[in-house]
Order: sequence, then structure tokens, then C-alpha cells
Amino acid sequence: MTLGLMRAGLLGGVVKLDTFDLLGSAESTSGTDVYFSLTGLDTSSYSDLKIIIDWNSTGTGVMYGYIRFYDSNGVKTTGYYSLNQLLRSGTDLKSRTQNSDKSFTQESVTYGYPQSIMEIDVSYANTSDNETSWSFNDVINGGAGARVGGGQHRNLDYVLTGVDLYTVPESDSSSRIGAGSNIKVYGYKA
Amino acid sequence: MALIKINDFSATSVTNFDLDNIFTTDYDVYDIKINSIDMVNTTNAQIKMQFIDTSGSIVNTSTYYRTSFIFNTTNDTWNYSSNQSGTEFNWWLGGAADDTEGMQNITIFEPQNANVYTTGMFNANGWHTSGFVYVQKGGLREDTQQAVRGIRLFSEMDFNSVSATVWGYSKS
Repeated sequence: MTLGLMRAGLLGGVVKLDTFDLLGSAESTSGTDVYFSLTGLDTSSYSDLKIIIDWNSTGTGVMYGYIRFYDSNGVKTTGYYSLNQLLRSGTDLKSRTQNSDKSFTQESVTYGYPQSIMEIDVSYANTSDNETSWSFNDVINGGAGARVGGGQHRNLDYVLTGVDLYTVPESDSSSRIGAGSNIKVYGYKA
Repeated sequence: MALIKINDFSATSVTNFDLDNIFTTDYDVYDIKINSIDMVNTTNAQIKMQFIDTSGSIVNTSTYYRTSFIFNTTNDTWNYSSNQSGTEFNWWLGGAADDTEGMQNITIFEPQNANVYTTGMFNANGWHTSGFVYVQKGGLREDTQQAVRGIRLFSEMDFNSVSATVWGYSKS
């Protein structure tokens, strides 16, 4: 699904196309979700994606958030995300390497403060020639923390068709994804 | 403000991958995105970049500055990395196994302005033979005030295949 941003313009005497397109969006409305999905993306013409996740949580408990991608068959990919990141949260500055978990960005914590914003640039989204590869910037904990990093999905080349935001509230927390949290995916048309 | 596609490039079995005539006075800021890349060997490699000047010559006598953070271990540490004396920009490409040469996103600022240094930023990652994905983010500056019209990408080894798209940020 391509929405509205494609247009033609006259620049420098040459007609060129603006081909940075919104491919889809999803919003969590219930206020009780622990995850929400954006699936069915047609990324076949888009080599690079920009994913913007703007989410907040209800309550005041700690929540961990992470991302999963969907492959070309619409199947959630659960194997071998690899990443390196540097995280600043409160007074802590720490880096984290993760090679074999089923997800990535598992330290995306919130403490009930709106909001957390994550920007993920994805390369090789529409090709099986290179493993899907990403770079991310993340504002967490209501702006009290930030993170930069990147990674690859190892041993799995696929055309990306969707993305989920998952959360894991701490065991004694009733916090959930807040209403209005949303994912938007934009594509760079190759 | 809009992103405007300037051109697509692709090549097979080449030593140098030239993206020429991409910088014009129409734009001040450019994104260069590698769409696919495959090197001839599966050993760790660097990607290297030089500018092409307005006469079409490779700028290989200047000093290319690169400063970056690199997350390149399996034990939760990060490092600072720089090269302040190169005749090209360089950073890690990876490629320790087939298909694992990672993201190469480059942003270039004011390449057509002869009165400023051409600067840039990059985001890169790739798979290392030691079994981790490294992540490198940094800044670039070419230490001559001159206008340039394109870039050359190369490595310690040839490209089996490579493709890229160049985007310009509209000024209004």
C-alpha cells in the first residue's frame, strides 16, 4: 500500500519523482495490548525502509520493548537477530551485544512516561542477496535515555513484509502499551 | 522538503564502483544508499570512498578524515575509531560470509560548494569473522575546499555485484 507521498515535480528543468513513500501504518488503540503489528507490507520495490515507532505505556511499571520482522511468506522471524548498541539511561551508559536472541532492542525500557520513539533505517529490505540490516536511534524512558545501534538478521535473507512491537512488562507490573502508540513504515523506492 | 531520487547505479565484476555526476547545485544534501553488495571474497573488508572532482578526476591526494564510534566486540564494549591521514575514507564493510556485507548509508553535505569542506556521515554494519555484527557510525571530512561531482567506492577486493541509489534533499 502506497499512500499519498508520490508526486512529480519540476526541479532544475528536469522532471523527477519523489519516491519516498509511506507504505503503511498501524496503531494500538486498546490501551491493554502487549504487542501490535503492521503486516502485509509490499516492500518489493523498496530497497530501504525507515520505520518510526512512537509508543508509550500505561501505568508506571518497567516495560521492555523489542521488534520482530516478518519474512516474505508473512511469517514472523524468530531466529538470530544480531545487534550492537550503546545505551544511556539515567546515569548508566552501557553497551550491549546480542547475538542469538529471538529479537532485538530488548532493552527499550519505559517507566510509564510517554513516550519512546524509535527510528530504524533498514537496508536490503526487498532482496535476498543481502541479509536485512538496520541502524537505529531510540529515545527511551520519556527522554531520560537514548540509544544508538544497529545490526543484522543473521542466516536469514528475506523480503521484509511486516514489523511487530512487543513488550514485556516486569512481572509485578500491569503496564501495557498505551493507546495511540503507532508504527509507520516508509520506503525508498529503488 | 522532499527526497528526490537522483539516479540508480549498478555494476558487476568491477574494482571501482563510480557514482559520477550525482552532485549538482540543485541540492545541498545527499543520501547514498547501497541496495545490494557482494564482494568476491568472504573475508573481512573495508569499504573505501573517494570524491570525483568537477573535471572527472579522482581526488586521491587530499586528506580524508573519518571519525567514528564502532561497536565491534562480543563483550559489551564500544570503541572510538578514527583515520586522520587517509587518501580515502574507509570503514568496515564486513562480509565474513556470503550476503553479510551490511548496511552502507552515507549522507554528504554541500559537495558542490567550493568554499567549504565537503563533509558527511555514515551508518554501516556487517558480520565479522569472529562471530559478531559490528556497527559503525561516524563523520567524514575531506580536507580540501573544492567542488566535487561524484564518489568512487572500492575495497581491498573487487565487487562481484553492487547497486546503489542516490537521493537529494530538495531545498524547499
